[in-house]
Amino acid sequence: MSENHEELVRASSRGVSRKGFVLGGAGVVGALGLGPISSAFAYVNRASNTKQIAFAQPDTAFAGYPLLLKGVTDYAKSRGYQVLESHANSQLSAQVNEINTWIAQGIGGIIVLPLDNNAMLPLIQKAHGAGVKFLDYSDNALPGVDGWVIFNNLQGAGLVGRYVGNWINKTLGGNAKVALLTHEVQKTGRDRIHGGEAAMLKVAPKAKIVAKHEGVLSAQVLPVAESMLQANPDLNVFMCIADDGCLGAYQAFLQTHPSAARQKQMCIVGWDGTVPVMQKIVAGTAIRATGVLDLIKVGSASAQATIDAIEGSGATKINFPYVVADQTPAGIATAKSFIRRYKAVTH
Amino acid sequence: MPEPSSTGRPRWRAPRPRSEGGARAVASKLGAYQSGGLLVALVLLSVFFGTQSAQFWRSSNLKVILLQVSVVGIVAIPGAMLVLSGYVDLSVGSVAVLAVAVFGDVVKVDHQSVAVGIVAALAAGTGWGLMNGFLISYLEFSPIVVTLGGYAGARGAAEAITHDVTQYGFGSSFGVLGNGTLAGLPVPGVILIIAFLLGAYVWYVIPTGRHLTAVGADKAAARSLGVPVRRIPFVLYILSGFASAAGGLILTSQLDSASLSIGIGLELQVLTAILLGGVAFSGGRGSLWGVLFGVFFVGVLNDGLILMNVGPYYANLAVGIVLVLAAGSDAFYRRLERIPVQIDETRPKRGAVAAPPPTDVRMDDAAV
Repeated sequence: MSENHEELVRASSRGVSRKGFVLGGAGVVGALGLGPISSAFAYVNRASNTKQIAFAQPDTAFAGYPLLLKGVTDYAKSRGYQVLESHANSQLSAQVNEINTWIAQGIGGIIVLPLDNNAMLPLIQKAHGAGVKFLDYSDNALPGVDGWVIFNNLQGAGLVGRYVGNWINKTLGGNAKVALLTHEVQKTGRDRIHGGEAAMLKVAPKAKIVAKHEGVLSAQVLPVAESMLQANPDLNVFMCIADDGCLGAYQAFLQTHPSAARQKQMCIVGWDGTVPVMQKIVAGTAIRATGVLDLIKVGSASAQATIDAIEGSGATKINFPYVVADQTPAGIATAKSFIRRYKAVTH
Repeated sequence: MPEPSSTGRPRWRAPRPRSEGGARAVASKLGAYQSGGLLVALVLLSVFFGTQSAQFWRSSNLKVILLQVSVVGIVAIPGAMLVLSGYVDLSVGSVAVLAVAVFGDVVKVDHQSVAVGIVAALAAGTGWGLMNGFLISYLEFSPIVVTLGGYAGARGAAEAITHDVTQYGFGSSFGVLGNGTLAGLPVPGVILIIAFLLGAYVWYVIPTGRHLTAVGADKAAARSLGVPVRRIPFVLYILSGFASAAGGLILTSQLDSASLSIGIGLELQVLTAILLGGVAFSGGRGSLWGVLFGVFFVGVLNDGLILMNVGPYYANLAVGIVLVLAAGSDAFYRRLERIPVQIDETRPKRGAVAAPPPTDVRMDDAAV
């Protein structure tokens, strides 16, 4: 009984008391009074925001992100700009929301790796309406953008695909079972995998695609690759859309406890050129090649194009080629050179 | 009908029940253990994949399935207890990556031993769980809002710790945690089995299991019966944080990399297994066996689709269709469960209400 009474007292105390009402009202009046002051601050912010650029790489879990960011921030700093980062976590709706926020903030410019090219088109118009420069860095130039940094994905796909084809011919006499880890929703994913597949088949036409599944990051790829290896215990090639996935495929392969001879018959390749993957290439493991984008330079070029677009001077349209790091002497030298540069940034 | 026992004394066996329902009685008995429909669906799915791929029933593939479901299963056990109690933890994936980040930082940046890294990672996960538990159980914050905050906050903390730099190369001894075998089974699978046995002991044997159900069904009634309605979720959130950290460490060991991609989508996988396993999202009803079937169902489905090489365009569609069919099958079995089946000669006469078959703890039905 007394417990019920206490409960009632507690419940009634949660209601709006007179004192609470008065305090709340005072708060509202105070906020209204401060309105003009906050508007003044907003004006000041609007003016200073033009020295900000947004770098919208939506996947910050990507192992190469610190390198990209290093390139962007160092370059932006050298020209007196501040960099805003993305928190989209690879979600399109979150990417659209944050771009809208940046446009509303009135920052100087935005450079985006679009999760969906079509979804960017209204945002480009909106940005231009607000005087914000809009650029993209990805696989192709979006219509109406103020500039771009484009990776030549098909060229990179050709480099890696030809390496795999030659490896199949040299190691397996032209016959191989190939698994593709794809990312079909993004043009970069399609270009890399379809381009790589076409280049490989041109060199090694008897190679056979036996498995294909979505998988980008290592934690995603690991279980997929485990099952692929069960379905095809004699699989010879994993072609991964991104280097991060190579690590998952490699660990899945190691879980099968492969003999030394079997390890020689496995070739895992990817794109991006991250340090862990290039170290494994240099160490002579089954990860044998990657299409490397100089991520620090991509970052600094992104900042440069954006700032040039804001200031109306310099090059705002930059194309980036890939280079290949593989287990040939030249490829190993390339890998070692990138590892040295990248480690200086991340350690 | 006496029969001699090993001690020579006559042992009396109860009269053998005479089944009148046939297949329906068997189905009803299965349904009585909840998620019997899901078990049947799991068997049917396995048989189907077995006919489609010669590799499916190979022991190596079954071990791979066990390996693949282990982390989800380990995290789902305290998660299911939370849902049974009317709570939820949406931060498990982010807590896992936070633990991974702490581990990578302690071992590779602070140059401490792997053991110290493991302890620090488990402490981070447990600490986050403790914070969740305190806010939700004692300060009565909304479980969904707090753990959604954790979903963003713990991953953000991981990014702040690592500055998005992935640490890797933790050595072969740490690799045993994710890639080693024990008694012929993958080590993560053994951990899952131990966790399940502990969970089943709590769920089915000791009174805590009934307390979880009571809290989930009617918290006020449970409080009036003396059930510690605050302490139960508090402890469960701590366990959930610990299990998430352990899951993160297992994945780190498997990948030999403290990747920030670990834990992405884990909360959804865990919740899918729990709900598919028949634990009511509103609390008060559920079976840990059902959760185990749910975990394996999703694991078998993913593995089987890859074995069949269903293309990337159709895999998600297939997963969606099969999950809905499985849920439908479980609902069908729960209907069967409610059909009284006469199984004993001493049954009540027509018109009388038959005693319900033995079930897992279900308080919502009693309330209905």
